[in-house]
Amino acid sequence: MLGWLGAIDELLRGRHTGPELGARETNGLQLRRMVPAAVVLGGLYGFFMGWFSVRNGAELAGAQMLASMVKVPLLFLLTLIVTFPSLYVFNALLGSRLGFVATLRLLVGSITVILAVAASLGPILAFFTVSTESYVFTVLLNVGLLGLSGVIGCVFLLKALRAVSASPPAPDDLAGVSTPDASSGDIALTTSRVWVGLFGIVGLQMGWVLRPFIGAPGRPFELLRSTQSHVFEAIWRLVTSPIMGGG
Amino acid sequence: MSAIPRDIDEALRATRALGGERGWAWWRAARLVLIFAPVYGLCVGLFSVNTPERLPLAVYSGVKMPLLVMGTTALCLPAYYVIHLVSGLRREFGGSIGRVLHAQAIVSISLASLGPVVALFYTATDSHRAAVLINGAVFFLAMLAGARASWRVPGTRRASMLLLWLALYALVGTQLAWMLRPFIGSPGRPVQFLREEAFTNGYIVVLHAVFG
Repeated sequence: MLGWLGAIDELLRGRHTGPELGARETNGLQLRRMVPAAVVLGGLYGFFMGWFSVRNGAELAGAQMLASMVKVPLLFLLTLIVTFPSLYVFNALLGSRLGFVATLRLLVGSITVILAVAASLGPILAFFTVSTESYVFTVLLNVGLLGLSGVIGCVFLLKALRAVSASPPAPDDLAGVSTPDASSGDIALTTSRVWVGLFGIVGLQMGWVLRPFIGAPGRPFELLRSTQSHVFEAIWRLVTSPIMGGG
Repeated sequence: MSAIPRDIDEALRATRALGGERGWAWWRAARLVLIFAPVYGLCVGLFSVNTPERLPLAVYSGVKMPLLVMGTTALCLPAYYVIHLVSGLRREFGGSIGRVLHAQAIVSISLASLGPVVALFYTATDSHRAAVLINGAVFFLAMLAGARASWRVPGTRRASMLLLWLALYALVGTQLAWMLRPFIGSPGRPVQFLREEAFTNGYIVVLHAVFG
């Protein structure tokens, strides 16, 4: 457990993603440490998320809380599974120096950062959940907190990628037949920006598919809802709803 | 098995595959197409799978995707060979085929990498038009990735041969794709490997649709 905490601490301080981060030096981001850390941190956020249905005395509130604890880490890992192949392929096509495992490590590291920030915001979420009855407010607060965590995680990722493209190429890259041209680092950074957008959109929709996380008052507990729709119209409906913060 | 991840990386980075006289060994590229085209086909076919009984539709789509890629290649090869002969590039033909297949491997890998995104997109809509549009966009992106690799081919004659190939391929591929329908499928239509009207001309159908 302490090993994990140490790993998270080092990750958050950017120990492994500083200027020394070359294509083959992502060894500090061990998957077998990062993935369990992400699962635990996500579960922690899910725990605070589940308070809403407990507070409202919903039937099977415990089940809802448990489901949220599983679903939050699942949301991020599934989103990664959906978006990782295209990031790797397009980065490799554009001549990024990051290999398959290095790219995966960097992304799992970013997700761990997102979930660490989210888990640290958990007590704030719990505080507001206890002091409000409004479902709409709770949903928007969750979207806001996770959005904030996501932005911080993306900044972390882009910083790390910039460090990669700035670092000098490894010796055996120079020996290759055609080394990527000088601008390829910038191109890879541009793809990564596009990808961050894709990750956000996919993540929102994945969250929508995995609903319910919070559990609307008056609705029975379901593991998954089976309506086919998309998240953006739902957010628009929430934002424009007249009872913002009311009932 | 560890040869395949290495092949993927080499194909995408095109460090050895495109440079030089010989190009890539054709079977290495063909192997990648046979692995990755079905992955994308499976994802595309998920659109109209709303009950377990309709699952074969996705499997059919997965089987048909490499058929489309490989079938088009087989149909275009004789003409491509003769064009090489006529242009006095007989010796280049082997490398040419390697490059052509390599570009197709890139397209297949790019398609497969976007497959999960397409599958998730399907959860957001039941609009057939939206499904066609997203797949069109994904195809466009993958073709762009393949074409970009082709532009990096050294030598104008080799590059123009590759462009010729692309034109030929698009012409034949469109018709073969029409014949191998349905890939996306419509929830209202029966599960079938090919539609009854498979042996019709897709271009004429489109012209009729446009001009009445």
